[in-house]
Amino acid sequence: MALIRNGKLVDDIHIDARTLDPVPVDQPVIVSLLQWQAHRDTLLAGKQSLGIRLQSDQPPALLGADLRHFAVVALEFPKFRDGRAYTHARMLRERLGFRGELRAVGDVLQEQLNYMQRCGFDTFEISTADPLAAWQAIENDHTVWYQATGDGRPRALELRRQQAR
Amino acid sequence: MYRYDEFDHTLVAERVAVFRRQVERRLTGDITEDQFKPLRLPNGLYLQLHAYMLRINVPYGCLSSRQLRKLAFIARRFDRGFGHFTTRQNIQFNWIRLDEAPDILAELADVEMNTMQSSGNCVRNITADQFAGRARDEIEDPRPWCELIRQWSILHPEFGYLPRKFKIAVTGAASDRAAVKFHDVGLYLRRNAEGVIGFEVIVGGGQGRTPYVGLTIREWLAKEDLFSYLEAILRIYNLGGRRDNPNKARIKIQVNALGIDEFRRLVEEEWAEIKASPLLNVDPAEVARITAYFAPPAWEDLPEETVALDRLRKAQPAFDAWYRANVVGHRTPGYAIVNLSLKSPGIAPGDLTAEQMDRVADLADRFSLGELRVSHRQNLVFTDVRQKELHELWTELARISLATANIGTLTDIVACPGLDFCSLANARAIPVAQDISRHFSDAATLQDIGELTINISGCMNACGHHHVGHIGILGVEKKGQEFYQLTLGGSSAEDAALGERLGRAISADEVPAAIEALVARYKSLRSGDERFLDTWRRVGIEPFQDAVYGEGVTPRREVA
Amino acid sequence: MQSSGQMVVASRLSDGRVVFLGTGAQWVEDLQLGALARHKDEGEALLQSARKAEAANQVVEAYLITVETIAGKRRATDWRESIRACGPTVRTDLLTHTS
Ligand code: HEM
Ligand code: SF4
Repeated sequence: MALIRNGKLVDDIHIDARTLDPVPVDQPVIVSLLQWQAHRDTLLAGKQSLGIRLQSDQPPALLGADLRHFAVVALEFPKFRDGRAYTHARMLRERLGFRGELRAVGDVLQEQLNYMQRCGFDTFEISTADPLAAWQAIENDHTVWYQATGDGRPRALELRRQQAR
Repeated sequence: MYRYDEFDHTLVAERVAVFRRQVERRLTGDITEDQFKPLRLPNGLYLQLHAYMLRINVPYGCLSSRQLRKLAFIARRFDRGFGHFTTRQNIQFNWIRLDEAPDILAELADVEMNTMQSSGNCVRNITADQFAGRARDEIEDPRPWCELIRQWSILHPEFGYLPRKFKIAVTGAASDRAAVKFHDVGLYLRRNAEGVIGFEVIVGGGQGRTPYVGLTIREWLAKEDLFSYLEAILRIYNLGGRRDNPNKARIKIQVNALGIDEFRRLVEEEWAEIKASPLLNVDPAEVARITAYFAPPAWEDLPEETVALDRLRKAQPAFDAWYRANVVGHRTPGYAIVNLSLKSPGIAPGDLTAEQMDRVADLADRFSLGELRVSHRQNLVFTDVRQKELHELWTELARISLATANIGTLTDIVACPGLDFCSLANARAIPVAQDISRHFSDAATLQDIGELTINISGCMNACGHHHVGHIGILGVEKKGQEFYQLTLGGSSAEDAALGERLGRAISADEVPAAIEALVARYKSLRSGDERFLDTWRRVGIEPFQDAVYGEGVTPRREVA
Repeated sequence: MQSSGQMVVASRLSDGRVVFLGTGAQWVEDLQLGALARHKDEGEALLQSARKAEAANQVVEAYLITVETIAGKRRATDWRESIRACGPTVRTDLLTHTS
């Protein structure tokens, strides 16, 4: 599926290996936590780009030091109403220091993209015919936010200060 | 009160534009109802029995006369000429059109109001003591903190999809007038042993089908730690609150399943990680900026008018009754706080017509520095009335049926919209309130009965706070008929308690007689000027059960 | 004379008003004027037609209610539905219909 990354339409070079057995070791894959736990050593030996897909009840901190092996962490929204991945995303970026691709997958809807981006997601798997149009429809929705997150955007507080200067 | 600057204005305007687009997409069929519902709810737009209902935030209960005039305009132009004030200090309109909703939001934005997060599984309107900044028993005005929390919570990107709604209340007073212990998070401004003011933090209170009195998670929290601590609580809730069953998804269920000690341990562990984060600092300059908006007005140097007021009260018993029930001491000499009762006999509790709104706005300009408050008991408050003008104000209020002398008494009834408006209801609530208020309309009788709160909800969701009424009335449905379950002994004040069920549910006809029987039993049992609640606490349930069920309740004749 | 039947009630998308499915796939505001199904199959047919109106974004939350006719006048048997059809029992100045 095509992805939106940093506002652009890109191809997904990783294959979704969740249902593949054995997991391919010669091409970029995204695996489940269970697969990772079962085949960790084989996957590491393969040297391909690795991604992991976590369910909303699997906190990224579970990965511990293994986090550094992943180029992609995909956090799943089983339903858009399940907001746990917003917290997990911030933990990844702001506490665990994850710099790789942070991908939102599952029930990812246009109207939630801004919150996701602010929590640290940079890549979105949007289940709609025209994901780029969905992104472009909302990307300029909000120029003022009251909260600071790890994305470094100035909040209203900083905007006020800049203006006062 | 707080005024928007250009950034607050931009934020609200952008949100209105987003909602306009969403409504258009819905009307053209671009998105389905299932997709639209989660977009309209966080903008306060519900679909109710008769039409769309719009819930507008009145932040921590503060309104200006200009805002009230706008609400009157909305009532006339977009609704049917009246609005309903709720137990969360908000106002609801019942006859809204979807295709006009974005225009209403734009009208509201003009007067610095909005509907953001007035519904949905997010942080809702912050509520507070309606006497904030004026009460004599207050150590600090909670409103700057409410505004800081409001801003922190609005469009918070991490907490827009919590397991369930999240309600926060704040007070700085010794008497709890904000039901702080019945909120997901409650904050009491408190001094620590060194005399420094911070917050006692309460968590896990709530009503609904599983009511709980909130528990203290932290005895004292420094002000500079407010955001990091709130964020830690919300995180533990967002990650650990139940998502499998909406009826068990509130934080109160999580707190009580884990136990407060374990819940506290989790929160403090998370807090330790983010406490020092620059993202969550409480910026002193910003606190000062916001606090300045709530600086006391330039009160005049006025004498206490005790003698003149005494003379008027002696001369006019009706004024005296109103003064005793509806006027509250102000912290500044020569001033008074005045409650405007939205509970005149036969009226739906909390309803105000557009004409009344306009008149109240004029009176607020004339008598109360252009500002007013909404109380969680569905009344209005003028905060800065000169004592020498009390009599004149009383005369004016009486002309628009807002001078009923019943604040805190049995006819100051709190009631939700019930089956007359609400699609979740089991039974009507408003007609029950109307019956009781007609039955006990004599001011002297009410004063003799003294402090007695009645709260009515049309279903288990408890929007009318029946669990915490001294007398609670819950509407239930049995074989297609409306019945009412009485509970006794609840309190939402600092002596917080949940009511106890009295016995079998009774029919609507029987309610006024049952209340009459309870009141008669109380009068025969009370010692001295003991309140109903204290008599109940002393004598227990049996004498009251006997009063209602033992001697049989005779249905009252239908009123024409 | 008393008889009972079924009608479809829904909320109109644009303004949220309570409407009843009439004959010829029109929606009407007055319960007395809606299409009345005497048999279960007719009721199902009405509901099918209502589902189409939902898909066409005319109405939302359509469902069947039971209506009885007494002396030529219809009323919803369920109390909640009767309040929906007639408006709140309080503030009767706001009644949607005089029926
Ligand atoms: C008319 C549309 C309304 C709907 C659909 C509605 C829905 C609900 C629901 C479902 C709950 C239970 C929440 C839970 O236990 O998780 C609830 C609680 C509550 N609602 Fe409403 N409500 C409505 C109107 C009102 C009004 C008019 C008021 C104020 C008078 C109000 C104030 C409250 C309060 C204070 C609670 C208790 C909070 C708690 O559960 O701790 N609501 N409402
Ligand atoms: S208590 Fe029930 S009937 Fe009353 S407003 Fe809440 S949901 Fe509706």
